[in-house]
This record gives sequence, C-alpha cells and structure tokens, in this order.
Amino acid sequence: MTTFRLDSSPGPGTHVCVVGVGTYPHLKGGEGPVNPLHRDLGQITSPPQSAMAMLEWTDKTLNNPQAPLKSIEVLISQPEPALYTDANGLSQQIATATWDNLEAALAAWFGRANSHPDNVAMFYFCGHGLGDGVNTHLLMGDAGVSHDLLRHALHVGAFRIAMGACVAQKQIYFIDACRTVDLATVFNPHSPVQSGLPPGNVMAIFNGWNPVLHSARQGELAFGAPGEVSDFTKALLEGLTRCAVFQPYGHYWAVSPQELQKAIAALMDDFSGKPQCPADGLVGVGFQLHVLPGVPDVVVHVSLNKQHANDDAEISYTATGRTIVRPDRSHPWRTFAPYGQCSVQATFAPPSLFTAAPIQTFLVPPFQNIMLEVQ
Amino acid sequence: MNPRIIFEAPAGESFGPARELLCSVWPLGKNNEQISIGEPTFSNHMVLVGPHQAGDEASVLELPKPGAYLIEVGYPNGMSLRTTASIGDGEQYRLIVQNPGSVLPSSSAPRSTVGLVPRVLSATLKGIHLKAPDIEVRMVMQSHVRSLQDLRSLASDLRDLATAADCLARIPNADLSFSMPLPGARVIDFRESYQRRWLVVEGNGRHHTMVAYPFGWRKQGDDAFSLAMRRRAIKGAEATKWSVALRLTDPVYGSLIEYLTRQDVQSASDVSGSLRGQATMLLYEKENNPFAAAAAAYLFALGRGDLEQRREWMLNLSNWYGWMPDGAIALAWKLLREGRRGSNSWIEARKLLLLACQRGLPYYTVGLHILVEALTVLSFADPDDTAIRSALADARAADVACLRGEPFTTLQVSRYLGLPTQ
Repeated sequence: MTTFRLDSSPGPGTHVCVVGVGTYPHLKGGEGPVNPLHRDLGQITSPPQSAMAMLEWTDKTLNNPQAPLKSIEVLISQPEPALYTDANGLSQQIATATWDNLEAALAAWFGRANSHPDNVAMFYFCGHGLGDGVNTHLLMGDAGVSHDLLRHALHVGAFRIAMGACVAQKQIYFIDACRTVDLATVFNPHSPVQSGLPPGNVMAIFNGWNPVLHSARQGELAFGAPGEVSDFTKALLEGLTRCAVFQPYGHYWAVSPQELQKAIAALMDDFSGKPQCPADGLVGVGFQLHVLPGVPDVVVHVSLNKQHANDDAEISYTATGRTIVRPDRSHPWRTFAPYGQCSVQATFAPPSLFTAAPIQTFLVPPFQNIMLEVQ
Repeated sequence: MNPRIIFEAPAGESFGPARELLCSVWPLGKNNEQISIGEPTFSNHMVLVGPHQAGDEASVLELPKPGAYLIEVGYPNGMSLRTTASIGDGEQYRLIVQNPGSVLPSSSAPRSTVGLVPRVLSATLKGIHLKAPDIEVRMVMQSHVRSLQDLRSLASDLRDLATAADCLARIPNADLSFSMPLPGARVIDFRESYQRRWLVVEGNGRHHTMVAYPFGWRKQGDDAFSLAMRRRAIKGAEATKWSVALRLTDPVYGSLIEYLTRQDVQSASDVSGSLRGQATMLLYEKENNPFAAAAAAYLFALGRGDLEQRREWMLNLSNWYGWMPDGAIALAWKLLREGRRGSNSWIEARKLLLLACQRGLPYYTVGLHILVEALTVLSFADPDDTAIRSALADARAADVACLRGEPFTTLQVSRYLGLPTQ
C-alpha cells in the first residue's frame, strides 16, 4: 500500500486510487509458474507508464476547490520497483498491484472517501482486462496464480455496486483495459465475482454519480504503444488539462465526466464511424472534477466534403490572431483550437481548380466537427 | 416570416425509423467584436427526424430572429451533432441529420422475399432445400411460462423448433444486410391467454439469435417494428454471424426505449413529457399495451418520482400480466431505491425479483441489466441468501449473452449455451 498527498483535514476532498499493471508473473512470458490458460495475455509495458502519468497529473495538476486533493493511493507492477516523489517531497517505492495489495488499497481509499458526502472518489486502472459481454474483469499482477484466471481480477460492476456503500456521492471510474470476451474459458456465471471490498456493507442503492469511462468497446481491445502512455490515458489527460470542460457557474471552466467522455471520444476517433469511449452511468449534468486555470481549447476535426481534393488542399484555421496550418495531409485533420471565434479555410495550389468557402464559426469545448464544402 | 431550421434525414433508408431527437439552440452574438453565446433559444427540444411526411411541423424549429446560432442535436444512442449556422430573415435552414450509426440496413438492402405477412412454411418444404439458407427468420410461440432458470432449455427448444414455427423470411442468397417490416397484430386479451413470442434468426442454420418480441404492439396504419440484420461478409466464417436489431417504428416510444437502454433518464423523460409523448402514452393506455406500460414503468423506476403516486399502477402491471417479468423488475428496483437493507421495501423487492426470474427473460435489455444489478445488491447485502445467488447466476448468464445496445432483449444463443452450467 502506497499513499501520497495524504491530508486529514476536515471537509470534502478528492481521493484518488491509481492502479497500473504491466508485469504478470503467471501469464505468458512471466517469471513465475505460468498458468497454461493464460490466453496469450502476457507482459505489457504501457500500463505502468500510463499509471505513472495519471499519478503525476493528479499530484501536480489536479485542482478542484470544491474538493481539494486529499489522498492518492497507488499500486504499480513493473519489472523494476516504481519510485515516485510527490509535490510535497515525499519519496516512496510504490507497492505492486497484487490482489492482496489491491484489497488493502481499496479499503484505505474507501475509508477516506467515506468520510464526507461531498468527497470525490476517483479510480483509475490500466492493465489487462477481460470482458464478459457486459462487464469487465481487471486482472491484477498475480492473476493466473490460481487456476481460475478471474480469482485475482476485479469485477468492475460488482466493485461499483459495492462502492454504493460509500457516502461519497461523486465517484468516477476510468478503466483503461481490453474488453475481449472468451466466455467459455474464463467466465462462469455461478462463480462469485470479486468486488475488492467486504461483502455485507451494502445498505442502500447508491443515489449519486458513479460513471465509468472505458477505453474499449465491448469485446474489443484497448491500445497503447510499448513503453508509452496508452491511447486512452493520453486522451484522458488531454481532456483533463485542455478541453473536457463546461461552465458550472458561468465564470470558470471545469472538467466534468460528461465532457470528458465527449473529449476522449473525439480524441480517440479513428473515423471508422464506431463510437469511442463507451461509458456507463453518465446521467444529469455531472459534477466538477478539476478546474482549468485559463481558457480551454476545443478538439476540432476538419474535413473536406470531397476527399479527392485533399491532396491539393492546404487547410488552416485562424483564431486569436494566429493562423495554424495543417502540418500534413491527414484527413480529417484533428487539431486543437482555442475556445471562441475561429475561421477555417482551405486553399488549393494551381493547377488545382478546387475552391472552398471559408467557415466562420464559434468553437465551444470539448469538440466540434467542421466540413469545408469544395466546389 | 421568422427564420426556421428544418431537420431532415438523408435520402434513402439509411436513417432507419423516425426518431425524436433532442435539439438545443443558442444564439451567437457580438460583444466588443468578440462572439459570445447567449441563453438557449431551445433546450432539449424534441424534433422528429426520419422518413415521414415532408413539412411536418414536428421537424421545424422557428427562431425568434435572424442571426447566427449554435445548434446541437442529440441522438437516442448517445451520439451528438453540433454545428453553427447563420440564418437570414425568412430563411429556412435545412439541417441534414446523418445516420446515428446503429445497426441499420443499407439503402441497397433487399427486402424480404417472403412478403409482409408472416406465413407458415411446412417442414416438407424446408426439407427440399439441400443448402441451409443464408438467413432465416422465424417467430416462435412459447407454450407456457419458462423461468430464467429454464432459459437454457428454452433456447435449445427455440433453436430446434423449426417445424412448428412461423417462418417470416428465408433468403437463400442474402446480401450483406437485410431488413423486414413486422406488422402489428391485434391481441384480444393480454392478461389471461397471452403467449410469449420470440423472433429467432439464424445464419446458414447456425449462430442463432433470439429476440424477446412484443407481439401485439400495434401502430395505426403502419408496421409496428422493423427487423434489421447485417453481417460483415458474404463468404467465410463471418458470413453466418448476423447482427440483429429489432426497432420499434413508433418514433416516440422507439426513441424513449432507446434513451432508456442507455439509462439516459433525463432524455427519456423529455420525450415522454412532451405533447407528442403524452398523446402517445394515452393512446397506448387506451389500448392496454403492456409493453408500452413496462417501458413507462422502467422510466419511472429509474427516475426520481415518488413511488406512492404510482404504486398501485405498478402493482397492477406486475400482477395483471403474469407472463411478463418487466413490471415486477421495475417495481422491485423502485422499492430497493426507496428502502434500506432489512426494510419491508427490500423484503418485497426480493420477492418481486424472484417472481420476475420465474417469468423468464425480460423484454427490455435495460430490464435485464436492472435485474442483475438488483440481485447483485441483494447478494452483497446478504451473501448467504442462496435463492438470490442462484437467481443472480441465471440472470448474469443471460445478461452476458445479450446484445447490450439493443432495446429489446436479444440473446446470442450459441454464446449463451456455451456458458458453464455450474
């Protein structure tokens, strides 16, 4: 169990739990006795990087005056022990993400979050996941030590229901894991699922906010380049710092789960038409997770209605007196533009005969599509 | 004349049945040469978009004055479209609302070769085909109440009951996508003699999908449902795997149910609370449509209304239609939300949930999810309750084999039967 930024002062706060698992000794390529039913799940290098990036953002950037940061619980499994020094100068080796460590970390995190109804409880996981068609099982570092692969896996749905016993009315779960399904080999509806929290605590149906944002659609994979922060976590951090905002009281910009979902979906859009960043439990207008220090940006996708005109086009936008030109021929062009007035234009070098009328628009975060009509 | 925005679906059938979309419009003004956003002119206003009569007032928003506007349109599946437009005095701005990206047939999809009216194909006729058809759609009647625990044998029976089933469509050489209308049927008595129907879809004799079919849901002058099917490839392993989508053609309830499937209670309430929503609800009440009532019950159960206002109505829904699990699930969820562990509400909810499991697979996907969640809550509150644990295992098995995004419960039979039994 490793805790940073612990603040026991009274009043609401944000309590964060970050889990990143890259080393699985009992799965393919692991150093321990390898479970023959590993299903090709092996060692991965992106989750520790992603969890460390999330830890760093939480420690150094998270700013929520309604619920200031009051604890970070963190577990990271990677080949060498992970070390971190927080903004207060506390330096610690981070505990590994085994099932027992997870239970201890969740108990501590739950206890702190349970101290005030206006607390924000934030949970982040990056590592292997398995879908059961509806829900996701998150594999801890010792997954596979038992013949039952899911014995050391956290069931997101059960965990969320068990968290219903927590008085914190604002909860959010970021799940950066695959959701591929292999029902026959891993899922038994008669086996109990692991919530990570003690049973018997549930006294009532949770009536607050507890959305879950997933990196992958049901039955699909999540992605991240080896040794780099994963695609979802990159988009999550961009959303948190730049664009996933609304104006709760009209005079400042705050990140909310609703806007985060839209921002991540836009940033991860592969233009295949399939929706990104599936979410559960997004209801109402949401709540404030973080306050931006300044004016936000907007994710913009600029495209031409005639794709064959793309090679000849120089696309740009002009905002706050600056013109930014598309650096390559990517189509649609995904970029960030500042909130507010903006013009988007395309010019075509001779001998091309194409023309396109510029579009004057007003960009509002988190996201806007713009299509230029080519004549 | 004031400027107007006219919402239209793209040409062809790609949009699917008409739907109520929620539209918000903000004026864009100038403040010290900077553009600013004003108070919304419309906020979550329903607009009807899809194949319907042109010029329908339901698809038009009249703006108070010319100017620049920010327009946002929300689809029932959670996607949204945002654009800006500058609209002059008396102008009509046509906003083409693209396909929301669900499982829908392409415009070139062949229609059913069997025709609009279901008919029985005899086993003899089926026997003369040497090759199984690319796709076959059947409607199978369930002779008696089958519990969720009995779903495994029901799924096997439905798969094997070809001879006794109504064949709705049989396509030997199908294209990538295929859609067929399902006309409404008149049911005299939903309470006593009603028997459940299932739509069973199979590709090349394999990969069965069964859909809980609200047989008896009618729509005046039109087909009640459309059944859309699509596959990834014409040849190879993917050719027999069909995605199946049962869509209600009624735009009001079709939208309401789709919002509910995502548990977007606010948007579903906006739809039901509108004038068109109220009128449609009254019509279904007059017709004693239990499926529409069940959808309304889920909306109530997920919302923040006071149970005492609707307790009797929800009890009646649960008691009158002994073949339908949905009324009991909705009431149980409301009771769980209002009570605490050990309270009478929780004891009553427990009974209702076990009753719902006795009645079988819910009609609505959202109902199956609520059932699993409610049973999980009870199992966490009392880990020694073996009846609840057993019911939860049955419900979870069905839940993981159902298509999550479909409004009506759509079970992938092979996946379901492949699950361990203990």
